[in-house]
Amino acid sequence: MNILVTAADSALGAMLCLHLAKGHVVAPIGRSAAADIDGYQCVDPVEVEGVANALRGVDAVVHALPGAANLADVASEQELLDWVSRSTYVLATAACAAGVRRIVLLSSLDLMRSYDERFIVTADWQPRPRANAESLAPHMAELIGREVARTGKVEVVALRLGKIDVEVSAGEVAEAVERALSEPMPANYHWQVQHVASSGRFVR
Amino acid sequence: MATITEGKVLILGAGGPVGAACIGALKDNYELRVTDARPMAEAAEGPRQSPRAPLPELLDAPHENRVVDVSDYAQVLAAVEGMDAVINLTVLRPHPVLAFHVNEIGAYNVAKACVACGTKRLIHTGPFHSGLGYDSDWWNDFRVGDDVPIHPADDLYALTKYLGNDITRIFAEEHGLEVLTFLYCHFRPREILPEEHGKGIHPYATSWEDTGEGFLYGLRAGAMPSPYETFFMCSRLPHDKYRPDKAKHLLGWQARDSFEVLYSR
Repeated sequence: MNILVTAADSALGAMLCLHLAKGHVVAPIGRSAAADIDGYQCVDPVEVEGVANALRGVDAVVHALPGAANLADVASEQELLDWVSRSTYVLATAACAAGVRRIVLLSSLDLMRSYDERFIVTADWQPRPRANAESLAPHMAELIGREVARTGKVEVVALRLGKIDVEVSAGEVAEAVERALSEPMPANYHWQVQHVASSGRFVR
Repeated sequence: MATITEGKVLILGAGGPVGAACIGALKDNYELRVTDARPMAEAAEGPRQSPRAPLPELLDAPHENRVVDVSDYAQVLAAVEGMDAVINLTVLRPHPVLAFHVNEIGAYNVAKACVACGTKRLIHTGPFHSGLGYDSDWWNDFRVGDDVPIHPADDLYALTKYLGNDITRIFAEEHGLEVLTFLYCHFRPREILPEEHGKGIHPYATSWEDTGEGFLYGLRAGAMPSPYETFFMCSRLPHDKYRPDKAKHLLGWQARDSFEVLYSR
């Protein structure tokens, strides 16, 4: 499979590129001018033309940016919200145009932490982000992914990742992404959410 | 209770026809801070958004006119300071970057500034896209109510406004900010021309005049059942596709225009 990975210049994206390269052809992109990843290209996923070029011949996308981006990467909370939202829209609509089969969108279990700690929270529960940009950004990405998937032009699987090395290991995240790239979707649906945590109150 | 019967009201995005209707309905009842991304004097000169759409009246003191870019938090915060209520009419439809900056980030800035300033009530606005040309829209349904989830799909304008709505909801629920979201689809003048008789009407339609009055009712309404309430702001039409029942029950607002000659023989 030919797989485009966004935020390949982040720790999460780089880890996924290394894992996926064992069995796939990986095209890593990111906003940084350079990154220590084979085949890395500087393409900010908000750039329509750059994304369209990067998607040529791609079968699937791992959109790691919503799960990786944080305030340290940008100048303001507004920029974070805009970057994550707009990149998801640009990527998803370009993926539809390019005939990409599936997008795996990495999000965060932080969206579900407002629930009472006694509850066992599955992906069927309503996300409850906080009213700040860091919390809202992955939620916005999920909404965009879900809505573009509603058109039926592309499949989108959102993986809400637990805290790496606390609720889930990096290896488990990589395995979850690998599964999400190939597992059949629920019948007739183009949108699916899964929780990725091996311990704690969040289950798939 | 956040009922606003007098005081200072900020209107953001007042340069368009909804702003014009809003200014006309509120100017004698409130002290307005009227803002747009361009000077209001320029907006008042036109051109009109459509041939019969209203242009905003340029107000004198005690009202105030100000240029505010809703994507700039510092400008929004300065505009919200000292206001009893805020009405956000900002919208940008086709631009792939600015649609996010105005419709999503702008909503974030407004909600955040309202929380920071302790604003009593925010009236947020957006579109209800009855038809978006795909099977999951609401075009083929009937008896659709105010709280139905919006399905914007990949439409840039509908989607970015939807994101702004949800951000506003999240601020309202976390901080207790009282937000009334008014949804619109098709606007038209109250006046019906002879050549329009029997030509039909969009099933989700509102006159500019009723649109303006809706804001007055929105400010004056009593406490809401929850911090975030969504309202269909349209005429009750015999198609029975979209039912503006909540506005009647919670705001006491009902569109005066029924446009009967448009769908009668």
